[in-house]
Amino acid sequence: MMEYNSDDLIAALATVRGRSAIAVIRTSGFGCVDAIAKIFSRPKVLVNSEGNRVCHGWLLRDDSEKIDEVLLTVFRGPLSYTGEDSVEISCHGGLVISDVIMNLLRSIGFRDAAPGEFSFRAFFNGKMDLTQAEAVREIIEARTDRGRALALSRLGGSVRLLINAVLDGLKKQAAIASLALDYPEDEVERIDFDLDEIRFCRESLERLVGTWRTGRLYQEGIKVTLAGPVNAGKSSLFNLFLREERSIVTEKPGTTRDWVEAWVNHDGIPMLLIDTAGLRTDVTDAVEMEGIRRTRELIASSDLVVALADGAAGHSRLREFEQLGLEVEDGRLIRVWNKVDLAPDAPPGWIGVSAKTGVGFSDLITEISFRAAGATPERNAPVINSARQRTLLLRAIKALDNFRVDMGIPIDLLAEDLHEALDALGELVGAVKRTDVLDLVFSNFCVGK
Amino acid sequence: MDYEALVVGGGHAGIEASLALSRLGYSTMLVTQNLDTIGQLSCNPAIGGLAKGNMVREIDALGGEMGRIIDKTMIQFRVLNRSRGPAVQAPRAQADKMAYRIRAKKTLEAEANLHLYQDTVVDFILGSGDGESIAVKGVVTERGGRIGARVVVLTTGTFMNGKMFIGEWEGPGGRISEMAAPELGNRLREMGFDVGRMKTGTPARVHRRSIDVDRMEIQFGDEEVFGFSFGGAEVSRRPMLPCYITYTNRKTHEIIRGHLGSSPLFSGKIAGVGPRYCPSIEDKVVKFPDRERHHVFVEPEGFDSQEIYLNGLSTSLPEDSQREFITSIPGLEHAQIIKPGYAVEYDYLNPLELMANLESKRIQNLFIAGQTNGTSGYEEAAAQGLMGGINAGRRLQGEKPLVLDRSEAYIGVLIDDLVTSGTREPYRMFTSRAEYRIALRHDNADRRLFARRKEAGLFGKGDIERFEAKCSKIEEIRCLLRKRILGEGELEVGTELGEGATRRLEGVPTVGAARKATCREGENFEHLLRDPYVSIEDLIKLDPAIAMGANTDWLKQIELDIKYEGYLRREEQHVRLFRKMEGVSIPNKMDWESVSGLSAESREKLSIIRPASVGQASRIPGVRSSDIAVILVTLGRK
Repeated sequence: MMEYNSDDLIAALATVRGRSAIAVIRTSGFGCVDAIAKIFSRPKVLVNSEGNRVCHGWLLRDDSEKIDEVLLTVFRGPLSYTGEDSVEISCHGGLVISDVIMNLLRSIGFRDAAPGEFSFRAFFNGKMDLTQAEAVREIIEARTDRGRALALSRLGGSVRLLINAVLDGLKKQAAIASLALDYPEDEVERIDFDLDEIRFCRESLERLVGTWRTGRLYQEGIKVTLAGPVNAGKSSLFNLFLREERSIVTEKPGTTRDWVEAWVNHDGIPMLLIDTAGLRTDVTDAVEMEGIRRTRELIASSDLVVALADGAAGHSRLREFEQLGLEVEDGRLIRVWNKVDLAPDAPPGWIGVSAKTGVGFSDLITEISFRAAGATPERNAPVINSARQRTLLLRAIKALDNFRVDMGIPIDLLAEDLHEALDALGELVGAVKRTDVLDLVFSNFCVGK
Repeated sequence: MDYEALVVGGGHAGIEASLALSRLGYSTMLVTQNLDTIGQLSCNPAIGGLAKGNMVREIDALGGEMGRIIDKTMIQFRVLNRSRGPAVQAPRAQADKMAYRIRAKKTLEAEANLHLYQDTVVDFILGSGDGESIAVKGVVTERGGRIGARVVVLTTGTFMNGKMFIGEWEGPGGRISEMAAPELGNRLREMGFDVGRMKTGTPARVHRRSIDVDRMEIQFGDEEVFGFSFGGAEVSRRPMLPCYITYTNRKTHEIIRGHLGSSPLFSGKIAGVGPRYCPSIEDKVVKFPDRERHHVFVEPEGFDSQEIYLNGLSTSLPEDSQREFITSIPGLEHAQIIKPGYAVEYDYLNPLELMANLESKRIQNLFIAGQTNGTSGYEEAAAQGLMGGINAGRRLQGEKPLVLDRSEAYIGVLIDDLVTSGTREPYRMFTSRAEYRIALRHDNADRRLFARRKEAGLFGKGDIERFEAKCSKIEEIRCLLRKRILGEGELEVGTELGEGATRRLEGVPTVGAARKATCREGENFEHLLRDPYVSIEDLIKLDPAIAMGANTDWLKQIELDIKYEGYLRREEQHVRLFRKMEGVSIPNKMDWESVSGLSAESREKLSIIRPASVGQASRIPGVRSSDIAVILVTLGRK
């Protein structure tokens, strides 16, 4: 993000390129309202417009040629998304109009915004903290509605609210430590930490950290590999996944002829589903051996492996299945007993599915969600999904774990642990200054000779 | 009359500044309004205390004088916070005020290069400095005298436009019955300095014979006394005087509440900002109405004085109201007030207008130190005086400034806070202000700062040899501890291990039974010492050879270094990161207006403060991490 320039005029199409009723072009930068007034049919109205106002008129080329009838929404910095003056041009949809308008804007000094540059400016201008800036990026990248909702709730600051609440609690404890650090025993005799408060803070952070996997899961999706012997019905199951899913994101054949992958979305979880070449034990053909080697690589790198057995062949085939040597630990392995429409019930530990009729498919999806997410997060509860947030939260939790008043640890060291926690959380939502803690001391405690 | 250096003011900052300059070999003049009040302890009769004690020892480690004066004039000594861990412990001494002042003056008088002169400075002689800047060339005094000097250190304390308040009465003065210096503050205002008002206060003094100490708790000093100075001289074996503790009560509070209307603090007469950490008794009663009592520390002012200082009762109520509330306190029923408490309001100069060497950004060669910069406390003043003096000397030599950073010393924290964040209330040093306090113990100040002292060049006879002998002895003992293995059979003796430590840890909150140390044969002594329940005394009992030729103070340092090694290492990592940002320097001539992407608020602050490094910039209140990103990008592009 360091290569962005931050002092010029930028513009970009904010809506999807393609056919639509209207399109929105977003612009930002110092002097951006005046600049657009030069190509607007009612320049004075625009220049004098307050923030958060809409101006109706025409965009003009060479002062006369009408390009499009538009609505211009004016934002005045700092009360804008980027913190700078900003104009959003709502024009008619379609590729031609928006391209003509972008060219017009370039001709009066705008340049195309780099991806994420509006958010970058918002961050630069102090309009959002790092957690929010990350959330903006993730909104764009989020693949599912659920992911988008999580990102939006964080943008609203739910993570920040939670962390701020924890910070307030810890600051109070730091103030108590500060009393012992800054005033001698004869002036301040008793130093009583509120251990319940610290425990509560720690638990809140722990819960937040626990959402990381969930958050990441909804954000980035998981890789699910279908594996099993030839003819177990992997391709049928793969097709069932696709059939049941209404919005297929991509579907492309594997780079080799032996596997196929597709992004599918079930239960709000984006999955990269991979159908692999069948495994067998009696391979001699060099090409096929290479295929199996790749399959094993895919299995090794997957979040979950759905292993299929041909149920119609009966329980006697179980032994053969075991001999395939999947080498997947139980946590990642889901055993599916396919063709239950033809065969006896699935053995214990297996999910009975019929790829042909769809029987048992919802059980499989439930199992996948359960395995992937551990547990589904409460709706609207704050969720983190960047590794950076997780690392900082873990640092804070570790510091609070070190905070043990019953170990004979002197208070100067206990204070270090509290500050370590405050620093870590401060990095998430903005630094905690030591003078903040001193202010608490002076306002809450009667100190000083 | 021309001098190389001139110091204005003879308080704790002026003493250190003038001694540093004259000892570095510069012909120096100290001008003060009254030679007989040089080194006056205007408020409480004590030197040191938490964080402040660390600073006194740092001053000594750098070649300053404060530690040596108090070592010769203390009447009681205590290490505070013994129960709270070594990083927050600090020495404090009750001072014999008169003896302190006399000793300070004698020390100045003995300095060959130092000329003391009684006069009042009213103006500066200005001339051109480097480039287009203005430089100070000397001062003009009240009687029209002109004294030329190449550098000037301004240490005016509370005297610039000092105004005193007792109830409805107000009058000019810097201390009770001492002249203020009105002209200089006004002159500085004219020169464009950002001059503000602060206030501070002091309690009444009562006659010793009029108080009944039997009705109070008695508070003795420590048995074991060590000096603030690392110089090795013995603390004078003066008889140690006790202090006493008594308490205010509901009646006291009622009386005070009844007279609030005549307190200049509450009537709005005083505009200056007072210190929240050292509130007047009026403030305490108003702000904490639920408190049924407040401490009063009853402290003697010295051997040859009958004055008793009532610490905790700072006030500016009318004199009869003072008498009324003081006599409502147990033990003070018949107290005879001999000096009333008062508030004083004075001019201070915004320290954001200083560079980290304490030189003014407006006027070249003008250094400003002490309470003038908005601090409070003798130690804070002395620390700045020393650094201002050292840096004025370096300016005379054309050497680069000597600036301590926040990881080196409390003095570094003090000056960085002042020139980076400024201050809105009288600034006092607190332990919690120092991020790297685990390493900033009082006992290791000499080892921390020896290299800096070498840079500064302030050495007395034998100082270097003494220091080197100490360091090599400490190294020798550490070697011994690593080599010495707990042998078979020693464990019988070893059952006593841990008792000393358990004793020392008394007062630390512990739950359940104290754990016994677990010592195994075959482990070396250094390893054993890491156990929180094993003390170095325990090990010395096992093997007295460890302590041979070492002073107890050094042994304690060794013990702390070993016990805190893990924390120190963690802190060192933070320090490395911190230094990295400190190391990215910002040119002094940086044109902040031309840096795009900065918020308007940050741009303004950066233009005023002109940080020397990205690290300093990041500590300026209001400067955001996004601004730091912009600064880094801008610096990187150049």
